[in-house]
Amino acid sequence: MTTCLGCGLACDDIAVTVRDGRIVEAVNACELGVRWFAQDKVPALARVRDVRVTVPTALAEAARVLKSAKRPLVYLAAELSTNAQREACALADVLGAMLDTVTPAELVLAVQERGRCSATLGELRHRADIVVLWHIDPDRAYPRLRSRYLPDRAGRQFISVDLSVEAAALTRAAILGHGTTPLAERLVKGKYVAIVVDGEERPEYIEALLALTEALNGPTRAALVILRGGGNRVGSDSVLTWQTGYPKAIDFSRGAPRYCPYDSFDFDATLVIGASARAPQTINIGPRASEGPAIIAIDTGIAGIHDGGTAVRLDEIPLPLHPPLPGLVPETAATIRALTALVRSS
Amino acid sequence: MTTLRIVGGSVYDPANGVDGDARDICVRDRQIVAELPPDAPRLDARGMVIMPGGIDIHAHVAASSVNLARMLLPEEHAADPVLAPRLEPGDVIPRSGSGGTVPSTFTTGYRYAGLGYTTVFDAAVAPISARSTHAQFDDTPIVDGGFFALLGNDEYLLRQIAAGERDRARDYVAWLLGATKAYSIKIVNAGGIELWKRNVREIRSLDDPVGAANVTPRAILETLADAGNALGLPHPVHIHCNNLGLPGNIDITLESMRAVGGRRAHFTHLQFQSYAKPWASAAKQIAEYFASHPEVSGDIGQVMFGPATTVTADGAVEYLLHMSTGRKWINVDIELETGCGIVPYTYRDTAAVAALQWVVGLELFLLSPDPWRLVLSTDHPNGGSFMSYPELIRLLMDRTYRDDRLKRINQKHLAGSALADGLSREYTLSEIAIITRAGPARLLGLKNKGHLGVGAEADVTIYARSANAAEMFATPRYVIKAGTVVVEEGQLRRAPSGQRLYVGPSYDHAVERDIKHYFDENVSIAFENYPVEL
Repeated sequence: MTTCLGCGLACDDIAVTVRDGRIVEAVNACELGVRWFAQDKVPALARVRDVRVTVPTALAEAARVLKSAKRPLVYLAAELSTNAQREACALADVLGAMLDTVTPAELVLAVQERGRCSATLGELRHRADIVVLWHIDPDRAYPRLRSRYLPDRAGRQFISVDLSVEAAALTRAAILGHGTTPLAERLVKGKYVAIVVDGEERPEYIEALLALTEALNGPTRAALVILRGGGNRVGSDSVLTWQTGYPKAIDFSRGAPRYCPYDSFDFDATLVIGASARAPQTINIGPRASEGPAIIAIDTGIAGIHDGGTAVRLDEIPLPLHPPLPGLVPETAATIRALTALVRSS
Repeated sequence: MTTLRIVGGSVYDPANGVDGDARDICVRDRQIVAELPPDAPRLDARGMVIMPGGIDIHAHVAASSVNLARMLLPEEHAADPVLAPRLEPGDVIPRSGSGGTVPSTFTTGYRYAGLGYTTVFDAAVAPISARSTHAQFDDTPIVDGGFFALLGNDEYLLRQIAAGERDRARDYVAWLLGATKAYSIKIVNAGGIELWKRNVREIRSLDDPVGAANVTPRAILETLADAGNALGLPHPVHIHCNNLGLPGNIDITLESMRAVGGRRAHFTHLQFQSYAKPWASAAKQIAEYFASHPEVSGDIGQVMFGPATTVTADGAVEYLLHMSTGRKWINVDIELETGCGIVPYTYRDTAAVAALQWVVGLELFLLSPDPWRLVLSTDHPNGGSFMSYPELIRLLMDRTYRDDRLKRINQKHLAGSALADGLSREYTLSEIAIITRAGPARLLGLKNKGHLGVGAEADVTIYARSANAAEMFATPRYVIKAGTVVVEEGQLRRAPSGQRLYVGPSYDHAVERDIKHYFDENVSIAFENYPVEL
């Protein structure tokens, strides 16, 4: 079984058929998953400006540029394996670079301020009798959320809510005994309330919904489920946290990691790892890098399609990837490791 | 090939009956050997104290729960930035990090090694997240690591108990430990985490029903203790009792010990489980039970004054802590297996309960009838950081220091406590070696660790003597891990990867068909994707 990283649900029940080096079928995949596995064909090139070079030549040039930079940025796109994220963090540490990721800062800052009452997706499936869909249409961005984790069943109520952040705060106040709201009255009757929000599209709601969920755990039990987009985004939050103590926005320029979620800096060299539209890009190591705008580009694979290892589901459950097309392009983690060795050696 | 003759130190190797004798220790490659050629390199340890490498039987260092605690505490990390160590040039990349009560992984490995510890067990891992634990251990250098798998609220296990299928429960345990590459069974608040998920927040007795009437904390304890013993696990079952931290919990603690009576079982962080009601120490009752029950072992879970982070699978207790302190709180309900709760906490010597907890822990140490069976822990980072072990050792070795500290803490709940009445015991260096290395090795069934006999792994710590035990144990002069000198002249110089410690007990594979069926019906990940490859 292959794990699909088309969205943060990371469904691990995909049966992929490969023929002549192409993915021809992905059984169980939703439409997002089908699009994900359609990224199977990627180039395997390296170039410096307009000149095609070997990978070692491109890596040597990348190492030279990064070492001579005064203020380099290492930026992690979404579709990296946990191993690639570990190697990228080591590289940023060695370089004394800034390290950042696609995770919205508001999302992690809200959790760091208050904490978080949550549950893994299987827990929702077994326990949730009230499911609040807060400003989301899961069928669009997370097509298998309902069928895999929140199927209709006797006694399960769905409440779709388009309320404001202020309304969430009022509902929380009511649960704590200050005033009343219709939503609060319904929620406290639940045995296990699941509130579902999209952390990518609605990060501004996270703080209020964390507080609301926490308050619900007085009278009943409740969990906030923060949906995350495709790739291995929670993986980068986890890996960077265990290696440095911080989930993103880490400045290594003083030797030890420093957390800078509020700061913005100018960089004289940017290494993008993975596929990202972020500009400018001095160096890109990732899928289709050679087709992008970076000055130095090295094509590598996509986690779960070409690269193996582990990815982390949006609820922090780690899963094996079982890539259907290993070995077609250089592996991202190994490429970063080689770059780090070059940076250290000269 | 490494060879090294450590010359002239006073060797404390209680497993081999060596108590401070001056003798040479010979290291070849990764092992202790009997002899070396006369021209082998020498390390002059004259005047120094030599012990096996330290072994932490119970800490939280490499679980997904620990990582959530790390994420929750940027302010602690900002206050303790850690530069990369100056290692010998080589392929190993020296890594920066951050400290505080829950340090980053590289810093955790460096700091343990810097204290002379070479083996650490993570005491509470949700099996479904075992991959995260292995990856975090991969990034925790130097120390050998293993973990205990949370099973005391596992849905499949509870179903087997309900059905009276105890043999199948045992086979399931064997399958799960092998699949996740775990070292032993952990029980946290047997049945209580499942009840917390159902909004039942209190356990009154070991016979409270957990769903079905015949599924009780008692049945869970019996089933898992039987499984651990029947499977011949090197460390049979590691138990965190019900009602942790609550006044009067001594009753359910002793009842739990009686429930598994006659079987080998390890009761962890007993300090948190030894309170009378109203608040008072019940350490003496634990000491008495240990004296008459040689099959029981435990660790202390000492509270040290200062910052801590409480991180446990026991979600209900963290809710109470959050409500009583107002500090930030994480709860994660983990499907079918367990839970997770986290609250930062500070133990103040001016607070009555914290002062009592400090006293209860020290009483357990000082009244202990057998240091081999009641070993050192702070339940890092719950009672305090592992970095406070040297201070704890000083409290055990130095009565004057201890009594002076005792005078300056809140006395409200201390009336009639043995420590307040005056306990004169001072641990010897040999006893310290027992509670920090030889004892944990024996309790964990690690035959080649915790001693310095021929064939043992060459994990060796060399301390400069000092009248201040805290100073002595905080800064070993040399630490050797599997034959590699990692600390030299008090400086971390090398950081090789540690080994992973895990079991693979045999079982009747017929059980896998039933487990697969259960996965297909209930678990949100595929049966084939559950086992971890290392």
